[in-house]
Amino acid sequence: MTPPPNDPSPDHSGPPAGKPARWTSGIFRSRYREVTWEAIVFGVVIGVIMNAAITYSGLKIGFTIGGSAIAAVLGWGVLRGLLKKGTIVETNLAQTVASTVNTSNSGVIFTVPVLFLLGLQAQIDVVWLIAACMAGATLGVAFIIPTRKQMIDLERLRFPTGTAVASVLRSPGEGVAKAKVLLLGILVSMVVFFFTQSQDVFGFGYASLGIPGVDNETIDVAHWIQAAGLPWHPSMQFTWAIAPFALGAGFITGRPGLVVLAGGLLAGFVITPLAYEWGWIPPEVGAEAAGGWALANMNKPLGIGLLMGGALVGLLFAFPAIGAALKSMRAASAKGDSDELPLSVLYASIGIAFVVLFLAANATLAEGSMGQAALIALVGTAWMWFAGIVIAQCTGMTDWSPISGMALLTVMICLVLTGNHVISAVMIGAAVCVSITECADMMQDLKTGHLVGGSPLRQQFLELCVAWIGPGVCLAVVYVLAKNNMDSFGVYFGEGTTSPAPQAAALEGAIDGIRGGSAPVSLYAMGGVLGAMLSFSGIAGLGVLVGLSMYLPLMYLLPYGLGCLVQMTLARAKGAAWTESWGVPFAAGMIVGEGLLGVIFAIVKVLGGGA
Amino acid sequence: MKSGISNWLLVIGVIVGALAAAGSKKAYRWVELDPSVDLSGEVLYETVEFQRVEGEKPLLIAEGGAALDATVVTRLTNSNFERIRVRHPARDAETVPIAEAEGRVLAHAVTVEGETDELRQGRIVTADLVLRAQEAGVESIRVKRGAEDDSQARALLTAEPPLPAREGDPRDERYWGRDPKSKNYVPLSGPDANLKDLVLAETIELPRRLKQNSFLDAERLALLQRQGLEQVDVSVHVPFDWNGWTQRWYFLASIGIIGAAIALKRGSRDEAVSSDGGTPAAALHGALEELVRESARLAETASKLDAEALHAAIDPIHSGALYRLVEGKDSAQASLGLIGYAHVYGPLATGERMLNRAWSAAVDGYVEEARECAERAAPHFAEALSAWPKS
Repeated sequence: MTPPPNDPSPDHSGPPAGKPARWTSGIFRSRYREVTWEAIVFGVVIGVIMNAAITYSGLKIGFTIGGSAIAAVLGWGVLRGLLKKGTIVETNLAQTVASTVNTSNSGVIFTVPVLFLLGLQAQIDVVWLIAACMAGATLGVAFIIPTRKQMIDLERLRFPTGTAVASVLRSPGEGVAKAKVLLLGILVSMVVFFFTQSQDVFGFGYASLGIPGVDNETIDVAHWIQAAGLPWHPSMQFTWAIAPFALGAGFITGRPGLVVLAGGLLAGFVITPLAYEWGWIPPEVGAEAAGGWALANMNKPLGIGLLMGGALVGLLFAFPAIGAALKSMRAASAKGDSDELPLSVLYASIGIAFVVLFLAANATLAEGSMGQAALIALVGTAWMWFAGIVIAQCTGMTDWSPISGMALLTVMICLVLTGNHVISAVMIGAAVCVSITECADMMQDLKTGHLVGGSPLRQQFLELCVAWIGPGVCLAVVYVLAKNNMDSFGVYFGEGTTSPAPQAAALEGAIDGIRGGSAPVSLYAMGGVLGAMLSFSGIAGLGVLVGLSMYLPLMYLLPYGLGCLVQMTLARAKGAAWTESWGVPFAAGMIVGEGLLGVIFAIVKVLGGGA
Repeated sequence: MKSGISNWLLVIGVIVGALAAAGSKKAYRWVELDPSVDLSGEVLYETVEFQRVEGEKPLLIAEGGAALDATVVTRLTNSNFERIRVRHPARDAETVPIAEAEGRVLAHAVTVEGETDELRQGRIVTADLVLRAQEAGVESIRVKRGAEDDSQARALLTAEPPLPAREGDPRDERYWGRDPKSKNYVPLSGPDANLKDLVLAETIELPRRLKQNSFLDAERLALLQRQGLEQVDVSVHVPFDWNGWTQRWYFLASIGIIGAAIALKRGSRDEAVSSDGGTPAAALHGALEELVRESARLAETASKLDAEALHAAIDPIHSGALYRLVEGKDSAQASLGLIGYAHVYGPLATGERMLNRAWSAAVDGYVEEARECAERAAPHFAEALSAWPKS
């Protein structure tokens, strides 16, 4: 055990003797290295780099990668390895800052490029777009203050990535054997995941093996079943994603995650084949394509409805507990003993965000009234809170967050509020999406902080200080890329450029559909009723979990469910404590390994590497 | 027993409800083959056959997609069909006058004559670009593949089979080689098409095109009107029809089934808590008492322990009483109710975080911090115990 480099000043994370201190007084003073300039600078620099790289790759390949695990590993290497003075909680803070700066990219790239695709770029008021996104990011952080206690202390959601990051940070104290298990998990994950991505870069992958049914990223088990002459309905897709991350997340979630698998099976193995057999799916859609059709037209809208209905009733049920948590926060705050940001910060953030959203809506709504702008700002602010809680809950329960579905729903609501004014709708939608991604990310980091003993007050304070940076960085990348694409290809984004912005292109199609009146509102409503009913069952998060699983592609839910089953089997065979003690580090390694290699491959692809 | 039944009811309710909801999106509706009903404009959903004698080849009455005209209706009624499935909507698209198209979406892409898009050199060649060029009558475009200096190659857009270059052809073979073996032969369409890494080697202009599914706002409609278009194909959207949703009663039944499951579940939970002697709650209370004792002992001795000893002393608390309490949170919530649970598990979580901090500080060698956090954890656990209801 290394002796501390310094241990002089008293810790101010708790109350000093005498009169209550201001809540800011203890943030920077601590005898245990936690809030340091090294951690902040490292976090901001890594966050900016990751944000720019992931924004670029996200516009190119269509999905983003979470930065927490990478930031934790890098933070560990730099603060503890190179600078020789990083502590566990300091690295947690550095990783928190980095992921806060990084995480807003999915909110921006799923929405803002739509305006370019629709040819509305000249009408964007960039200043207000940036201001709205920054306000969204700040509010996303602030909204977490009253819900941290609910989700982490009371609901004790697992947040698989947050737990995995904590495993990485705690590894020096867990003993050599557990560190080896963690490293083994990382290694196994990287080897398994490597061949899913290597085709484009090295010219070979799993598909090169020439095994029927095996593609670079998936294994089609239905193909094997049919090849063996066993009965199988052709509309039932039984494809497994080669995703060690999903396996690890399922393992960490354990038994509660089985509901996710069950929902996926309901969508893929019950609704789809029956809808096909009963002729609900148009005859021209073949059996092989039936799964995709049913997902897009039935299961996904129904899943979004279930998710929202389940979350809404779950939230109503949680109000008494949230009230109790707020009461204890107020009491602690009055005594000067609070370990959270005070509620006044939340109220101030809500006020500022409302004003910014109001001004932004007012500036972009050419023919709108002040009342309409105020309504948009009010609903936008309330929706940020609700949608942020939904996303944080999904992430906490499964590690998946339905950002694209929420973006669609958000833009739909904003279109209704703005009277189909696309620019305002997308701008407010972008602010909301940035806000909810911040919520989910921050909750992951706070979970990590809880597990390593970090101070929520310090984490929240620093997140509040740096949250605005992220939207600025990714919007800058979006605009630079747009200009570059215009110079090179004659178009800003989309087909024919190196940045097809697939998620935004999908949203563009959805916006046209919504404006044309084809949004599946009836399915949202029916799903909402079912989700609400399920939340009355008393099984925590049932409506949300079933909804999420009907929304996600089954190929990722299968390895996730396998992870849950492996955890349950091990817990039965070796005991729950043994499984927690030895299984979780390995599962954490699986999550971290894929995340690390995913970023490396994304960078290689962005730099133009390819066979 | 009740719990098992309620779980099964919940599963059945969800399956029935989800299926019934999905049924609202079915792509057909039933129509009665009643001579008094006007079926003009309806389209058969699927191919209809009639088997007069078992074992014989069925007789084709009409192909799926056929219009339900008088002949088809007569054939169907003669074959004893009383009702039949028709497409809903009958057509995916309809043609409407431009003046009525505002607020609809384009069913197909529309080429806007007279206005062009500039597709710059370096633009990636996609299947859509090839299609647009072909529609515009472009025979070939200059392309290059990746970093290869192949910019003199011309890619053929015509679907004609490749022809050998003719002697005396004024066109340079390098440009126009139609021999598949020539490196300059770049098929852009058909089975041999390979667009990977292909970019335009020169800037071209193609007629502007409104994409399929484009929303028709006033500006776009004005553009189409300027082309002299009087009509346009728009997608048909079917609004939700309560009466047409034949599965609605199943959906309502599923709500009833889920409701029954919830009632059973709540009943069985109350029963378990009251008659079961509150076994889980008693065990959890015992675990909390144990946690309070152990954390108090740690707090008392912390000042005498070094970092390594502190680290070793915290581990058993984590994996012992604290672990059992965390694992039993659902039972605790059922026993204590939401508010009671929040009063116990709130301070418990704060104490747990303090203990985690003590552990981390001990691992990092910050012994004073570790000692202080170990001492500060104990009162939180005691607070949790005091919040546990006495009865």
